Amino acid sequence: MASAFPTTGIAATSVAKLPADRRHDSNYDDDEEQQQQQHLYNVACSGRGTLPTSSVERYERRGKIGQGSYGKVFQCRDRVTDRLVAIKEISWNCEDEGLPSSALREVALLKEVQHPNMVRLIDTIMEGKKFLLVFEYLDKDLNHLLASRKTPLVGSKLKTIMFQLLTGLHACHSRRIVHRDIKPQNILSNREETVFKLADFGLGRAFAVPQQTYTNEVMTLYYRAPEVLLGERHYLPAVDMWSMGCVLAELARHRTMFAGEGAFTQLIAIFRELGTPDEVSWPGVTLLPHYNTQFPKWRRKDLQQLLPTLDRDGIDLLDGMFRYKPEERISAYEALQHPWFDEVRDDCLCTLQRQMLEQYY
Amino acid sequence: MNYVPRARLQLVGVCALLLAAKYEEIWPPEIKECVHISANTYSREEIIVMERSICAALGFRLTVPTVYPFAARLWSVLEDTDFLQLGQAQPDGPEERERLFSLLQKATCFFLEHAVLDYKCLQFTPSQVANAAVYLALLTLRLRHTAAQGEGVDAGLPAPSALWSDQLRHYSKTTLREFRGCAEVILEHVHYVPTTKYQAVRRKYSSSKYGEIAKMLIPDQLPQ
Repeated sequence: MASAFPTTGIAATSVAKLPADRRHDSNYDDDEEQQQQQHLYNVACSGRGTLPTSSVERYERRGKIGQGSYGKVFQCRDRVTDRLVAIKEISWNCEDEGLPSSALREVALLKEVQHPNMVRLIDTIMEGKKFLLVFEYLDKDLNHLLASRKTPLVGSKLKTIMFQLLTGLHACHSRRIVHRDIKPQNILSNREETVFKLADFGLGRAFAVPQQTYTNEVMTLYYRAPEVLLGERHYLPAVDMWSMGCVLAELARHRTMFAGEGAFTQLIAIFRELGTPDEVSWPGVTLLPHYNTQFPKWRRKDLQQLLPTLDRDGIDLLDGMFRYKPEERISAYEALQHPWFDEVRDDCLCTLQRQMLEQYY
Repeated sequence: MNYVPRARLQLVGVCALLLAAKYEEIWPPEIKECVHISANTYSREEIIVMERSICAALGFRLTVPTVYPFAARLWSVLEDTDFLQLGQAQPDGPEERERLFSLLQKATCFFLEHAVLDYKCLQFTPSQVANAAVYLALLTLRLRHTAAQGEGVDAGLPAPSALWSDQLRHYSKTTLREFRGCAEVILEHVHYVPTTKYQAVRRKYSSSKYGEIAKMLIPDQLPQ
């Protein structure tokens, strides 16, 4: 396939950076259309227009660090800033269907909302048959953090992590974006474990106010909300809050909260702890497609006994996140006001303000 | 500006549709279907190259509010209410009411689709256009009701502020005055279209599937 965006010669230099007379000349080139496309491409892909080039040559590949929901992820060094970046590489072949929709959504969503607690998309590069997403580099994910310690997280460290994540999530939800795949692997942190960010928006979606029917085959099973497991097709930001509750519980007890092997056993794992929902505890549940009258009947257990290391306010917050009825589940915004965070709120907000200033100015 | 020769305008259109579907739908069309709907005018390579040109030109900013979610929000406010302010004359049965509501949705879309084709509407925000379209739909259906009652066309129209109810004002955070200009522009365009050769929208809304909205009496002007 002939690339519309050649990587060598004049094209690799941003046209906008050329002296005025050369820029003028190039507009009357034989390849006028291609030149203009290249110019647009450079402008569109250079972020705030402060970086000299956006090309593969700018980044020096170090090694593969993972496999995203689509494409491989490499650790690379930015030759201009000498910083580490993570580059998600998506192949874009003519035999394929063009740009994968998950990549399209992830880029479009991350362009819409930038937040210190969401992994930052620095650049996008289209070259030849490859489409590269350049992200800021973070050293580890929450799974690494959990594996590296033997005891549950407690106190202000746990609160700081959750506060940061909820701040990032609120930023998404307030811009009508649902993440849909919150889990420890998708939560990244720096080496010092002071900054935590949501990553991997490949399954994210913008939800318009009319609730649309999205596929319900999303989200890693352990963190999947009960309404999704029961086949609810109109779902809301509340699905992310359920996942957030699972993450909080997992950090606080150092063990997965609900571990099922399939959709059915996942539901059973939830019901065993939180009780089997009925029309009283969750009006409308019996109408959901996968509701089964044969579900064993369990009673809701006391969360405090399941999570002995979590204090009373923490239990109260978790209880809000584990409400069955999605409309009753606590929102990210409400959760941020919860008394459990009183101890860390001022510090967290202070840090956030500083990060925002650094990021934008 | 990116220069697109006339012969490739359809290619831009097909690719825009493909991108919108990938962003919005669970199962977007395949590229071969895009080749097919453009009657094999373009190859799949051309479609893939244009797809990425559009992405680059837009800087991937595809998460944009369109008129539709705003209109849908207003519908959800109006559903199950006496949105035509008919009082006693409101249809009784739930089926009747549902039919009237579905007519409201179709009439709104009729105005929205006209607005999309009118350059003058580019000056308005999507929410203004949606507000105006819902208001014009309410007006049209109310006019139809009045005419069916055998009353004079001017007789039964409620005050302009009545159709744009307190509830609509509350949930749209907008008063009639703020989108009146937009409604006038759309209305003018709707009355202008029959004199042109661009009849696709009118034809669509003349079918019974789309409520035969185009055959209804559309108000000449907004009530003062």
